[in-house]
Amino acid sequence: MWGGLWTLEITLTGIAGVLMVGIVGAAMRTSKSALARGLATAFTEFFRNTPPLVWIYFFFFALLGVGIKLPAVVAGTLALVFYQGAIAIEILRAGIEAVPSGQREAASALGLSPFEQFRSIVLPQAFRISLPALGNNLISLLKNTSLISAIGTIEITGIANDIIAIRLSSAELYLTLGAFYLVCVFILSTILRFTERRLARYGS
Amino acid sequence: MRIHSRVALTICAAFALTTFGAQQPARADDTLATIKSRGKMVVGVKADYPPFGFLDGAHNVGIEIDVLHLVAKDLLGNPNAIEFVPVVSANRFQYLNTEKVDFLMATVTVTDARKKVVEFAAPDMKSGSGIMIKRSNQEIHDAPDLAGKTVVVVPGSTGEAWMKKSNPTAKLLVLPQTAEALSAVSGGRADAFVQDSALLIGLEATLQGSLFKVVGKDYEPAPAAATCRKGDTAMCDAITKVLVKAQKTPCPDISGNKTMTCLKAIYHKWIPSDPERFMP
Repeated sequence: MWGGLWTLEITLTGIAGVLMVGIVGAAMRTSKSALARGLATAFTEFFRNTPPLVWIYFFFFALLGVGIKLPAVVAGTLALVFYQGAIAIEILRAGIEAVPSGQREAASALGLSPFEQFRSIVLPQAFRISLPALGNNLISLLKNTSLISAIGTIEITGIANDIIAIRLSSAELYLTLGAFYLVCVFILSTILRFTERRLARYGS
Repeated sequence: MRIHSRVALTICAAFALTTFGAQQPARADDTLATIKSRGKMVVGVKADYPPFGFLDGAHNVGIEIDVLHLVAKDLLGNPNAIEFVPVVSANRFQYLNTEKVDFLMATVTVTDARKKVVEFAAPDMKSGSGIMIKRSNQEIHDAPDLAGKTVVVVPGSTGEAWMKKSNPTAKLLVLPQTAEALSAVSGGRADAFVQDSALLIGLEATLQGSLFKVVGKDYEPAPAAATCRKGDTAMCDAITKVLVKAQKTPCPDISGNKTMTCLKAIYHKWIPSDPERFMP
């Protein structure tokens, strides 16, 4: 089943994208610059408050109007990264704000630059605090890849729908499809739980 | 932890069992009786498929809809005793087999593979596959020109089956519905849309005609018919009887002359230029 591989590939690329958007966005959201804060807030509110399916259609169909022709996989992945990324920004922001201010003051007293403070002191702690919520977000990313079936038969849900339409046997295929997501999410959540336990060693 | 996993597994197993257990073969011999006692028939129809089944405002209209009015009048004494349930090619058989509808009148092409899993009434239309392209496209004139091109199809359609068989080098883009398929062609995402020629001609006759044109022929024309659940021959036989009658009895056409059979009058109303082209 190539569709299953595509689902995994979209998810892995998506996780990387979501973490990137989340970290950069959360840094902007908590920065001293009003411009950066405003931009990140606008991005979050814009994408978090709209359904991902709308963005999938937008990137696939509407961008053609301005001459941008993204392949379906790219359009779908981008839409999901923006949507789940917007949520990740909020999750990480909460994590950053939960890091005691004394940590940053101490880092500043040691002569670390604002970037070094963020990278080595604040972010690692914020990440550990946010991980459970972030994990939920990544699991929802995996499941939402099924929405990409709306723009073609790339990932496993689209392919299953096509097979069902031709063979007319729905129950078996939908159950198999459900089992596929169940196994994938179980593996992903196990990895997340393991990471959480690893990070917990450093205490809080 | 271990106890939790076991509970979770039990719940999963219970879910799987109930789902499989609930999947009984459709008990399908009494649909006709159900319709008569209910006084209404629930029919799966196309809503994006001019001139066969589409929407005029909030009303279902089209050739298949008019045929259904004949059926309802004959079986229930009231041409409007119909509840229309919109379906698309990809989900129509699920609607039928899960008894969400009594039968389908949704441009279902009669094929040997389908005869094994459903019953068909006598055909009420015939259509082949057709090719629709952008009006500005000068490259595609006939089926062989589709080789190596990106072609959009709708899942479960005869167009999809025909493309897979006759033109394996074309790249297929499978999109759920007519609207998405047309967007894909107009936006340049696909070179052509392959679907029932009857639909494509219908679309060309509407507003879409300024953007798109139909080229080539009706490829592999085949009959399409009302579709009932496997074993539900009583329902489909009743529909066949109405159709046979509609092909014999004269009916008034739109100008009131009784020169055509009832079925031809319906086709003439929707496709005045060439009513016979898609008649069974």
